[in-house]
Amino acid sequence: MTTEKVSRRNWLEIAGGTIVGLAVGAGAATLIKPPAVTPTPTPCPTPTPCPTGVPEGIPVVGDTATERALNAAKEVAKRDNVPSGFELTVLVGSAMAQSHEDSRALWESRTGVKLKFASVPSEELYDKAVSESVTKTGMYDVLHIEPYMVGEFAPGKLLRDVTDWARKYDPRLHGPPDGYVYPYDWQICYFRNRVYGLATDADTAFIMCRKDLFDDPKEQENFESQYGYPLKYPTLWTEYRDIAEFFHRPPDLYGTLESRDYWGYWSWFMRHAATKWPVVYPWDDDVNANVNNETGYLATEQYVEATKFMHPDVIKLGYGEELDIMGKGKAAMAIFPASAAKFTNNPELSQVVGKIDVPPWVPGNMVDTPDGKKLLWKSIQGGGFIVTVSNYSKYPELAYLYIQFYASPENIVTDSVAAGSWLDPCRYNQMGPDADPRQVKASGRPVLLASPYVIQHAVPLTPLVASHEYFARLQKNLQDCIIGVLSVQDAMAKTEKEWNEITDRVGREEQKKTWLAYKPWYG
Amino acid sequence: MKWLKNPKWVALLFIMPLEVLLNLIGMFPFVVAIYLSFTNWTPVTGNWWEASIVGPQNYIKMLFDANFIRSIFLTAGIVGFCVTIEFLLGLLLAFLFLEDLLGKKILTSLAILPMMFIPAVTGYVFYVAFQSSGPLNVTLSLVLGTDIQLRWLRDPMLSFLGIVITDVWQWTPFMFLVLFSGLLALPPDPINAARILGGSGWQTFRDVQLPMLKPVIIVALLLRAIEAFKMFDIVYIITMGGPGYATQTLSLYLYEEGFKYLKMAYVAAEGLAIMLLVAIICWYAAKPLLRRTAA
Repeated sequence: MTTEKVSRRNWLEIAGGTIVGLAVGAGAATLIKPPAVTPTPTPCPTPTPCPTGVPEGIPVVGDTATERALNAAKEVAKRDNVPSGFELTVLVGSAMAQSHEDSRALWESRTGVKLKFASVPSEELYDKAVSESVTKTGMYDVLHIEPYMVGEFAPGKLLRDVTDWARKYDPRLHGPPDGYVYPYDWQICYFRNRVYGLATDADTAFIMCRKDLFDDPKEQENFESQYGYPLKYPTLWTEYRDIAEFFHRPPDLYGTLESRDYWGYWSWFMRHAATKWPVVYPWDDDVNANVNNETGYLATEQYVEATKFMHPDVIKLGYGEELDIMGKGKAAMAIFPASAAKFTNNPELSQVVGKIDVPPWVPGNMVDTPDGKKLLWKSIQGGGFIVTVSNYSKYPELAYLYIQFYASPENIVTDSVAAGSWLDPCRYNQMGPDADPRQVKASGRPVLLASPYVIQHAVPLTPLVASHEYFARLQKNLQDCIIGVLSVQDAMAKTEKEWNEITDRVGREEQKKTWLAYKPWYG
Repeated sequence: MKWLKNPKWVALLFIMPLEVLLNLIGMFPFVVAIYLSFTNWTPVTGNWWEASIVGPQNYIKMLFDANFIRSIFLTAGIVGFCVTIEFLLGLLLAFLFLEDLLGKKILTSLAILPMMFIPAVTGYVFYVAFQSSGPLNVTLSLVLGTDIQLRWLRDPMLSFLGIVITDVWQWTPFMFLVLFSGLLALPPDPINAARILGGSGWQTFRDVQLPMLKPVIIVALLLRAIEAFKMFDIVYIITMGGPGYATQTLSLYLYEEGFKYLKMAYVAAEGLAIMLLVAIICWYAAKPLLRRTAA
């Protein structure tokens, strides 16, 4: 038998590789075991107060939600021995990153706790939350996500129930002068009677009209001679369609703008809810889809018809791109959330400053009622954003205090007026005739005056488990309808089939609990 | 411990930890995927090791899943168009570059430049180009002398064509490089003999060069087809699988089903089924190579 000698070079190579392999293996082994999950308190029905599940000892000091949060955060950091190099990490969509950045100086100087922002495209927040839900790494302390995701992640334990801390530190959840606007306080901050986060944004759909075009005598004359009624801000979806057609003069001017991409399902829900008196629900009480019928067809027809008078690439355009089109004066109308007003009101970004009016309604339908024909209109509370605490955060109480600070009545205006921020007004001090001057300067009076009325007519996006899939399936079928692949009836039939499959897969009884809790908010 | 004195055993001992680690990293996710494919696990229902076993339910379901089957055929269509066009253009370029061209070195660098771009960047550039008021429509309008407003992002067929154009632009250089190398490596004697015997350029190519180039062509087509089958970046950025489902490739479909709709167990089953399908196709495609090697 022959033997081969191992040369010194070979020996060094093999030894080096082994050392590296062992080091990598040791490092990998520490990652395999997930960290322990902090148990959440047992939910209890309101109004019976729950026993406090958090340790006492940190005093509540401060007249405002901001002061209470900042003072307590400093004490909590001391109590929990938060190391000086620790960074509280916030998962945030890129459109909101600047708003956190603008709040950084105050937080860090008062609490001594550093912040780190993990900014991702807003469309990918869900994916990141899913990854964290599985890996449980604790890399995010705070997640700034959309409210409909709470239904997905609260049962899945990613999001922490913060009801007890909210009761203790009082983030000003309810009522004027600076609480969240009713009913958004309940719709967004609560899930099954427990607080899972604090709203920072309430995407309510408004109709925005080019005042200069509507007030032009020549346009008025031409419109009336063509359509037989005076040109005015539309109160009906049929009027909306006519006006969009009238002003559709591509490529210099488009009749209207709405989202038809990722968030395109928004304006379908607001049409659907207003097709029959007193309101139409997307699901029945057993969470069977309620779309494959005349109300679903009407909403889809109106949705598809309006698309004819939009930018040709509207199916793919994102919100930012549509704002740019509006800002360049290329749209006569738009159905947008309130954050659009900050863009169109900014002289550095917009050529239509002072030319956008926001009526205190959105288009609707004349519907049959027991008392004859009446106008029925519904807006949509299309999601928005909510700051939540990760159940896998190493310092969850500190994370809660950050979200209370960030979403406090005093700080929320800073968040909303930050450059590029998509955050819409959601507290009483941000809207109405007594709105914060900074908010007025950023958003302009029209949308702030319209907000209290439109919000009262908004239907919510229900945070069912698999909400994302319900909305995405609808959106794809609507797109197929727009491009002519599916008829209106086929699109609704397909949506009904897909929605019912989702419900069956997820669990009908589970979905019923959430749906029946949100159904009353439809009005 | 006599065996410790054997250098072969010593070497084995030292590389064993790394081998175990690599197998763990590679095999463990694969084994977990097989396990998950027989469950109904989603990330928000609990730990994956506690998921309920549902048997072959996922495998049966995928046979009747219209979206899944559509995405396979769509992807096959994209692969067919892209790889064919890239092969023909790459071969043409390769032959052109066999000649003595002025500035050949610079032209070669320019020819392979598209391949150097990150696919996401390519996707974004073409997304802008395909806008209705973008440079592509403007250029077509100038060339044809009439206003062209092709709806690249809204029409299903044009969206499909847009994806093909983008992929062809980026990956033809790869085909060119592989085929050019293959042509350079061909023995010159048979080619010269064919020419001396009066063969035309086309006859020499068809009867002498092409048969000798066959193994290189098979490898190039296989590599490119496998990569095209996995296409994700440019579709995600340019169309996001839309309009509707018009450009929803298999990768995008699996991504949405898994990460947007959280059907991880179902996606695991689909992924394994696709892997098996692709492996069988590749084995058949590579058979001529294996026969040649055996010979």
